[in-house]
Amino acid sequence: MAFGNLKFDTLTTSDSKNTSTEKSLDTSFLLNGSAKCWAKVNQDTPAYRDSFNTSSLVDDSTGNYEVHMSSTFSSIDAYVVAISAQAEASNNDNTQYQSLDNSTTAMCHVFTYENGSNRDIRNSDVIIQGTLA
Amino acid sequence: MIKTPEFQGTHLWERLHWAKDNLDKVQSDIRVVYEDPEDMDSPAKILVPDPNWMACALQGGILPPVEVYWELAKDEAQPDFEKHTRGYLLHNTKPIEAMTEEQAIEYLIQKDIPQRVWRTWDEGNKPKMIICRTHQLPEHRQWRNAWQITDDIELAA
Repeated sequence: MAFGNLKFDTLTTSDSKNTSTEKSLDTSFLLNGSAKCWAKVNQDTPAYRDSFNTSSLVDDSTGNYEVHMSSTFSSIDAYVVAISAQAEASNNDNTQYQSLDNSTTAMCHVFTYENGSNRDIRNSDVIIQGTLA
Repeated sequence: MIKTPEFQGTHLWERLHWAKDNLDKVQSDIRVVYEDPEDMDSPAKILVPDPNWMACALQGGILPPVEVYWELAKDEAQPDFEKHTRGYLLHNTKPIEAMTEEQAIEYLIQKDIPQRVWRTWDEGNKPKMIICRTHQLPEHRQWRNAWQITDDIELAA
């Protein structure tokens, strides 16, 4: 069975299971609130595990890479980046993450650290939220 | 092969959603190694193509011409830039046709590597940029921060 497109501007729920008070949500909130770009990167290789809305990654050096986007953001202030990383499953050391140095509307610069030193991370995840151009 | 819908005028982000749902990832073993003349103290950088993006490039009808990114980069380089006002170029410009893997890599070079590198890649004492296969890179990253393009590299014809 083939499915078609469902176009609507507002979602409304009776919320009968919780408050029984009707609530409405503009579907623009769903679009604006979804991640616009994400990547799972293995810096050891380096290689993509998976991604959405990126064109390439550039391995700059140890613990330092760039994520280049396909659909760019409207401004450097129009997006935020969330990064998580774990060097290896048993590692509970102080691993820190930073980003947004020298970034542009089409490129996010990611740094990964461990105990103050740059470190390549096998599971480095980047999620970018914001407003696209 | 699945047919690409008519995407001109559709937001690029929505096209990428379609591609994610409908196209298989294409893993390329091509890598681009380059050195930035404005950052000569840093080690060589390595560009890795996104397999989802590569699928879009080989499919055709999804990605905008690379010149669109140059136009947006020009806007962003202006001192009074606040936000993009010509984002429509990404969505309204006629998408490019299907590329070969080699053409897709050339597109990526022109999109994601600084122009100061690829426009003059073969000027100077040694090449600033090399296209290679993954097996031609060092096998481990122990000395990653010392990687450079060698002075005596032999280029294929």
